[in-house]
Amino acid sequence: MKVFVPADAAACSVGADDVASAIVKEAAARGVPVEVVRTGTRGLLWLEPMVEVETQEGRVAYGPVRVDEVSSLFEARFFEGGAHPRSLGVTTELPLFAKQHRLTFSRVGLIDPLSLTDFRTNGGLEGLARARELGSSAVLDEVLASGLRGRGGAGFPAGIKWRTVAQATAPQKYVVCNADEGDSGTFADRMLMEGDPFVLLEGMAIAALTVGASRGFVYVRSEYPRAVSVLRRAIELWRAERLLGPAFDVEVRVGAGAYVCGEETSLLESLEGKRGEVRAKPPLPAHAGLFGAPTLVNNVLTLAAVPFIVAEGAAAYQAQGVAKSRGTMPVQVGGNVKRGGLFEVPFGVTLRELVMDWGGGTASGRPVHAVQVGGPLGAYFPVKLLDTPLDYEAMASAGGLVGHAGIVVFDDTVDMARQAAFAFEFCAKESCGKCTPCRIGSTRGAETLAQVARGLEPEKNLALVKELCTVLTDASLCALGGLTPMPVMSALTHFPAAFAPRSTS
Amino acid sequence: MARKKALKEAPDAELFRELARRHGEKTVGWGRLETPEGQAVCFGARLPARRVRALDLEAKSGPFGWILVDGADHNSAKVPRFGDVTPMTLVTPVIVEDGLAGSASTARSSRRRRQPRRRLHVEPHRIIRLNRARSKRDLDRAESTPHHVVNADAPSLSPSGERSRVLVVMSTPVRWSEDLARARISAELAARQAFLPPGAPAASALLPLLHDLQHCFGYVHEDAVPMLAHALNLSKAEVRGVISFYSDFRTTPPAAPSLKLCRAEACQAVGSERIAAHLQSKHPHVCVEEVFCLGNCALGPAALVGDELIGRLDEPRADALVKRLEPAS
Ligand SMILES: Cc1cc2nc3c(=O)[nH]c(=O)nc-3n(C[C@H](O)[C@H](O)[C@H](O)COP(=O)(O)O)c2cc1C
Ligand code: SF4
Ligand code: FES
Repeated sequence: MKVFVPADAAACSVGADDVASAIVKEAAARGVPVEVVRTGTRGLLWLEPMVEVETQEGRVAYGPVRVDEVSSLFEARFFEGGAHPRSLGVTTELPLFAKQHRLTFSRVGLIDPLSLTDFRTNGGLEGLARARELGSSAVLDEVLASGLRGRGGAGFPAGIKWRTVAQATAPQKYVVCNADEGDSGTFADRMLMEGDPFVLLEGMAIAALTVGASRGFVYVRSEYPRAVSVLRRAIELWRAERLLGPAFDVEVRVGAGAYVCGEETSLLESLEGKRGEVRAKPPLPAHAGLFGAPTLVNNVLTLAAVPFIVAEGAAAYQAQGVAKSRGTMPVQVGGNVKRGGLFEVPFGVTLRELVMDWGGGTASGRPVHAVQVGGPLGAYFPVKLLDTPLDYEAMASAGGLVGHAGIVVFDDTVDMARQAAFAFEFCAKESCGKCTPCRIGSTRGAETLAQVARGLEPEKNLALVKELCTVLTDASLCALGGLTPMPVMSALTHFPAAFAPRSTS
Repeated sequence: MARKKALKEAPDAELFRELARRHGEKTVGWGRLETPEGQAVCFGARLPARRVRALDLEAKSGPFGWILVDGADHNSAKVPRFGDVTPMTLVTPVIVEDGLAGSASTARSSRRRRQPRRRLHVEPHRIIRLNRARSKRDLDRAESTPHHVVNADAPSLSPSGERSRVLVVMSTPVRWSEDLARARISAELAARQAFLPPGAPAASALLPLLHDLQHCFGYVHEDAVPMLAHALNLSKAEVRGVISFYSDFRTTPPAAPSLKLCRAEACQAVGSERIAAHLQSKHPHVCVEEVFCLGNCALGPAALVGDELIGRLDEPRADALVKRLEPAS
């Protein structure tokens, strides 16, 4: 009998390892032949540790399971799907799972991440096989036609970037996967790397084949030790089976705690062994990237979307989504939320649906007050703007951004003036130091907001903050400085009351 | 080096090498551990299980190497007796006594040799039991244990019973040693260069080299700077510039106990600042490093201890965590 327990870092952060151990131990004590398979997480994180069991109706789930409940699960013969207070029913029929469109995350939580057999029997390697049949230019056409846009934040059309690199003539080209995932509120890259690392390798192999690259790097942030080790094992397995292709090889590189290294040119500097200082563009990395060679830099989710697109055809992907935002987005809902997790949904779903219907409102039970979308450089939305649909253009016209689709919920105890000040502080801490406004202006901004909070010349100081924001927007080389005004100004615009002088008591 | 010879002749030398290769360790089966009496070579060492006892002791951070042990008799209360290949998070550190220094010889012969008694303070943060790991395939399975718990009804192990082995992933950085640093630099550099296409500059290996040194020693020693500069054809100022740019790299030994607490927005929304204040007031001796997002934003407040992610931190969980990190006398 097979029992599935996630080995995902998030699931383990609330006890999945202990539950797995307890199940094995209990099974041994009771003489029940149970095989525990460690999987990724399904992304329904409020139900973790979520244990699944293979039955005739499909996999049934139990969760959240505490270690001290394991024995009663055995009493209830959960390994045969028996009823228990923690029973959730058939996993794929859980309302918040059934409603999803899991294209990129189809195998995450389902399979043993390092089993090539599982990967193959669930559609893995079909994209790569088809890419080899189609050849470079036909694959390019598919990626272009799919409407896939970069999932790292900027939303640049993937096909156009791929074409640029493919058309460059150079003896050496690189594919670089950006797995720096520094945005607060996001964990999709981590979940994918831990739950289905092969799909990322498949995407990279297709990319390499298409643009003509012979080496690939995955730049993973050091805060993700588990993802690093899973990915390294995955690469070993692919190398052993020669799946990467005859002329392509991949290596994992680990970041070192610098947020700005998620910016693609800073990332390339870091890969070259330098300080992660942002490069001026042009030249684009697609023309002169790593070691000056044409380099395709894509986010984990961008690359991982490609195998589906190539295997099933661009139309199947394109059919999802709205307007110029095609396909699905693995949305991550976190912060003060009742049902936090990852939901892969088509573009066009509104923030309200995500926060209220999917997320179930706040975990604290207090009213939702603000929602930050797209990480530390994303806007804070007030409740009245929650009907904004998640799509690149609609978010932009509402003064925000999609970013890496992290949605962070705050209840009414949040101090929005503090959040605005934090945005400046974060910019000051993480600035690469090249541009004066970003390096120094940000500290100034935080100090000025502190004065506002103390009631010191609020009007004059707020005017100064706005001025600083304009300078940051205009005189920053990259989006760290350039977009710090977004959380600051959205807080000022939508939550003016928070900036009113406080009583000093 | 008689011990080195002994290791090489051991039937498991091949496995050790495989293990070392997989983890990028060129010092096959070798390394150094800080002990109260000085350093000991102990990478991939194998020793009789009854010399491994679970005990509480000083916690140090940073994963390091492995010891293979014959016949597990570590504290069974803490280590569930299951599995032929099974992962477990072991919170109890062990003291490894005697005969550790790379000795692949049997208990009998090491007793005969009567080495000076050594006590190695080791804190494993994960133990994988390898019953009859005789092949690369067994290793494969063991290595993939974050995803596998196989076989519920393997015979339980008795201290004196059948041969079984424990793979201890230790977390003790070793004391600074120029020789070891030099060896690691050249090994890591060779590994990185093997991957790079011809013509790509060696300097691109700087970050992996720094990670490796920090992983080994707990920090990047000042004396490593000229070594790195020389190996990579950089100026010392360039190397220092890189070390100072990245917040991960430290130039002094780490304080213990320490943990990384997420201070980013999603964790702020669920009270990470409250946890930070609690830790500071209740446990001022704990070094709390700030980090921004650990990828656990739906289950915050989050922290990272070594390689272990902790979720839903509240005051009691924080207290329990600190207790676990604390050296128990
Ligand atoms: C400060 C900053 C941080 C960034 N962090 C990331 C990141 O963590 N992951 C990522 O994929 N892209 C990040 N980006 C975007 C990258 O610069 C780049 O646009 C992206 O890797 C391109 O891949 P895509 O087209 O697949 O999105 C960041 C950009 C900036 C300005
Ligand atoms: S805006 Fe800030 S992070 Fe970006 S290049 Fe300028 S100084 Fe560096
Ligand atoms: S914000 Fe704390 S884990 Fe992401």
